[in-house]
Amino acid sequence: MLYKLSVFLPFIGFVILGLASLFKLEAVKAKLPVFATVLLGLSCAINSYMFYEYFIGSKASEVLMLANWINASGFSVDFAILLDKLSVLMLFVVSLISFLVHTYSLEYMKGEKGIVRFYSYLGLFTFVMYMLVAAPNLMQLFLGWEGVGVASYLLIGFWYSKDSASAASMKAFIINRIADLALITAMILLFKNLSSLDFAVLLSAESLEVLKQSGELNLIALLLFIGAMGKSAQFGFHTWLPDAMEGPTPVSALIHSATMVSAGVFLVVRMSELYSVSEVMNVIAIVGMVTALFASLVGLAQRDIKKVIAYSTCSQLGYMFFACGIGAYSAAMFHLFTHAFFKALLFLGAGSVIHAAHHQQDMFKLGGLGKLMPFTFILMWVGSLGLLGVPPFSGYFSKDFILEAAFMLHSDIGLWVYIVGTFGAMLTAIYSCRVIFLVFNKPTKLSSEDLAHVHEVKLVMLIPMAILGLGAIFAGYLGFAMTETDFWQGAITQANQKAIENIHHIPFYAKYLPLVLVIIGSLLAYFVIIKAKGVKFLAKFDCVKNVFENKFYIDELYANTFERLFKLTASVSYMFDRCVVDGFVNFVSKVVMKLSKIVRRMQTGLVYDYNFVFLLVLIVALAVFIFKNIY
Amino acid sequence: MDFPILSILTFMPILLSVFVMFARKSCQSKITAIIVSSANFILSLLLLVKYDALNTSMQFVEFSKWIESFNINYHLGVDGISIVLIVLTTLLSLLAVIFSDHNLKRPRVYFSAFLILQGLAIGLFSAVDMILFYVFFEAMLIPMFLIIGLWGGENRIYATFKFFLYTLFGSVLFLVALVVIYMQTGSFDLGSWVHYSGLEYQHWLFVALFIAFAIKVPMIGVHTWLPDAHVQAPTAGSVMLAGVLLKVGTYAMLRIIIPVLPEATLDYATIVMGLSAAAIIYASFLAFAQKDIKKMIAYSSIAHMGFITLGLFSLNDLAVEGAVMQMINHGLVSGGLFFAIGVIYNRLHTRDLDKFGELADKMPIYAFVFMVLLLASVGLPVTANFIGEITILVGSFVSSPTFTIISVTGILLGACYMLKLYREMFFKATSNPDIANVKDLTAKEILVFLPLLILIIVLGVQPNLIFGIIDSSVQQILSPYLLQGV
Repeated sequence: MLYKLSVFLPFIGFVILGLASLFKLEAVKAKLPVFATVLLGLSCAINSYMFYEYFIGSKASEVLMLANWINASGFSVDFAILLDKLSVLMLFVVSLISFLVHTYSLEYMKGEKGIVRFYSYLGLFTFVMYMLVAAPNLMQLFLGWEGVGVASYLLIGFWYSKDSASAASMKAFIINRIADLALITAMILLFKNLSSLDFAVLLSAESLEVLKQSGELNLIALLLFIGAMGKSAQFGFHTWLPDAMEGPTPVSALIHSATMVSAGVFLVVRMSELYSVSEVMNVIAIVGMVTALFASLVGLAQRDIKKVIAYSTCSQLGYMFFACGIGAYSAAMFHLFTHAFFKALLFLGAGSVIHAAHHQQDMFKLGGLGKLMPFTFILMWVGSLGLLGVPPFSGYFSKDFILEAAFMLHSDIGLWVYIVGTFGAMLTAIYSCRVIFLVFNKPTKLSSEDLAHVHEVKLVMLIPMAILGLGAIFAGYLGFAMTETDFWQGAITQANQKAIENIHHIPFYAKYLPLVLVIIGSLLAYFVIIKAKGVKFLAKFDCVKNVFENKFYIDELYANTFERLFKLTASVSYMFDRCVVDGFVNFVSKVVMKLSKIVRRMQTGLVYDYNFVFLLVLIVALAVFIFKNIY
Repeated sequence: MDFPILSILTFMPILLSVFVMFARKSCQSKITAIIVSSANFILSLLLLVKYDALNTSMQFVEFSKWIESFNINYHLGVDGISIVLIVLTTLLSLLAVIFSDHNLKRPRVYFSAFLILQGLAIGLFSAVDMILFYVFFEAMLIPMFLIIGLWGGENRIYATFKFFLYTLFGSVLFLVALVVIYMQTGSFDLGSWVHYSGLEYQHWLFVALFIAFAIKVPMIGVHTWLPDAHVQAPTAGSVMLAGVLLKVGTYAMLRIIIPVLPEATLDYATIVMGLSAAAIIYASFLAFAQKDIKKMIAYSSIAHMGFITLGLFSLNDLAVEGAVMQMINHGLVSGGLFFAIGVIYNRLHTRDLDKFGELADKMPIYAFVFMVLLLASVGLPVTANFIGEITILVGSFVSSPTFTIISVTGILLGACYMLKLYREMFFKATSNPDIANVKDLTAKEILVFLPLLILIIVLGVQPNLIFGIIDSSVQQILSPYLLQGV
């Protein structure tokens, strides 16, 4: 009962605040954000207890039935809450980050006209995210999946009067929808073969056998993965995520880094039994690698602080996917867990900088903030070290675990993953350190007037960041148990058990190579940015930098091909409809009109005309009669 | 059944429209119309309560001889499918009457036309005798013709004639088909048609009936009357047109074509599914190309009706249930959208997308209502449309994977034009000076939208409310196919 309540607490907040935001109730409205935060705090407390029960107390998984949803001609779907280690972990992460973001936003969004609307959207998001992660069937997962899409649409477009914000929100929705088509098709195929969408049925050994027999297993696995690519902004579908930074920064921390975008990874992990017997694992690994590499390269050359972090999210999701691709699902979940902390922290840190510096997001126009905002500065380092994977910060444990598992696979794909992942780690180091050096260490570019306003943010914002900082440090220890397969109690499977068991036999050089490259990357960033060494040498590669800065021109490519083609098809269809289809209809009516005009001329209304016709017919009839009789 | 509830539902609004016609003041005519519609609405809910969902035969049956020499009877009766459509009709008529302003020209004729239209639609949904059905089918044209022709926009004459001639063309084919079937079966009773085995000329009959009903739906090829009619019709007229009149086409397909002509249906079903898939894609692109918001919604209607015909002709019980569900949903959502367009047209007197913008700031409640309707229209889970679409797609995949997969794309295309519409209406900066002073929804308008929004969400969360009523009826209609294992 308590657990059910916990899931619905954010929903209550959403409804109350949503209704209030429509009306002019200023007195009540002022208190509502705090109310929503308290609700989320309660939900977070319950979920933490749940987390404790399942992870320390190893409670058995269970399904809490809510209601029957659809029941028509053998198509039956329930609303329910599935509690197993996987969903409880996600519920914990979502509620914790959501609660911290709620708290942080109390200050960050203060004085904003639509603050009640903002909090109602946050509540909606949290609720549908709960529905997604706790879904016992694919249909409810899809409900949450689309729900978070809408919440994200609303929040990206929160400042809707900005044209770029409304464009970005639409882009996010539509690109996600494209991927959703694949997900819907997968659902249709699964139902056709198995007559059910419950995970318990879908992932049973017999069902997988049925799917194998029908020969549609790989297709379904691929379609589900395409769906996941959309939500997790993998290469090809990635264009919406950087644009999504138009939303308020706390939203970026909650939705576009820590929780929603990892839903794709969650889906693949949830279906891990299916993936383990499919043949699309290499596809997942390759897409993950391409994304990881591509996003870190683009991240190197961005000027906007949020966009760098967005691309870093994109690339870290690539890490999670290639972890899945080599069958190390638990490693992917572990990385998802640690990533949530340090990435949310980085975004909130960036938010503090933006808040302090009057919405200046261009790193080249900031600088020298380290002394003015010492706590933010330190916390940004904590987050970055987590991301870089420097021991003892959390990213070290999860990222290296993925790379080590890949290395120990002793296969081609494993080796490639190791190489790309390690090289990507160096790129990560470069762009992360670049952010910190540009924003905090370099001499400031802000005008003295602006600089006078810069100050350390209030405690309401610092405390959530500090908590995330603790997470960024300790999540690695806390979650290390996740790497053991037994730990999950069947919630997820592990494809390459051997490689993971042998992980401590990894050669010395392979274990420490990523770390060495990270240090080299950081030093490179230090020398180029702080000491301004090698700037001339780098200037020779300006054309390469341009390609990176313009995101490999993929947005332009899409705009000039798909978008144009779409609009062209629409206008051509309309012309066709007007001229050919409707033209034919009007043509028929015109012909009828013309004919009737001719016929009308006969209707002169004059008796002698009619008599004449009568006579004519009579003569003809007579002639025919006579003719017939003679022959 | 002692109490002739169906006759009352049908003829009470038609007869009482006399009072509306001769009301002393124009506001009295509106009030009378509201009272009559409310009474009818409540009465139709009684159908819902009293209906026995497990009994597969026609219920609330009324039977009396009419023209004995041709074996034509006054025979009414309803099953689950008819009942949900009747309730949809009474609800939408009531809302249409409430929404309409009594300050228009000839208010008495206007409100009585709506009452007559409502009565005829209910008669059609409950007619079992096919001559009776045909009479209602034809008679419905007259009030609609008046509504568009008298209270329509500047180009209403063209639109009314187009609408009238299109449907009349279909009616002729319908009548011929009726006579041909009568010659063979010796009866106009649907029940005896269904049980008559070995009907000849099925393929010709299919073509004739299909064209007649496809014009009503409308399916592509015979759809061009719809955008014109919608654009010219007054708001309440558009709501009735989209919400009720279009359903007549799909209802007749399900009621007559599918059970009476099983052989031909089996032969042509795939073609119809292909046409439906084409309609979904083509009409979505047409909607995207529109600058006139009412036309955009009209084209989107064609696309959504495509899902319904896709589901019906998949002949799969799940998909047909989804299709019936979708008839209701489409009535609620496109009805709501046409109301929404009426709201903004009344304020700004334009339908040109370029003249809108910034409405999210000026009309937050309206923005919220429109957002819910939009999300329903694009088939988002928790709205009723999602349930309809997903059950149609899951079910029809069994019959035709190709056309189903093509239709899935419609879900994306719908999002494209609806989001574009929303962005340009509510977010974009505007130079239209009228928008600065525009007022948010009035209490009356909220009253009209509220039941629609509530139903959209309630049916999205508890679709079994509909499925429970229609399940046995759909199984009954499809029984010849299900036995063959189609």
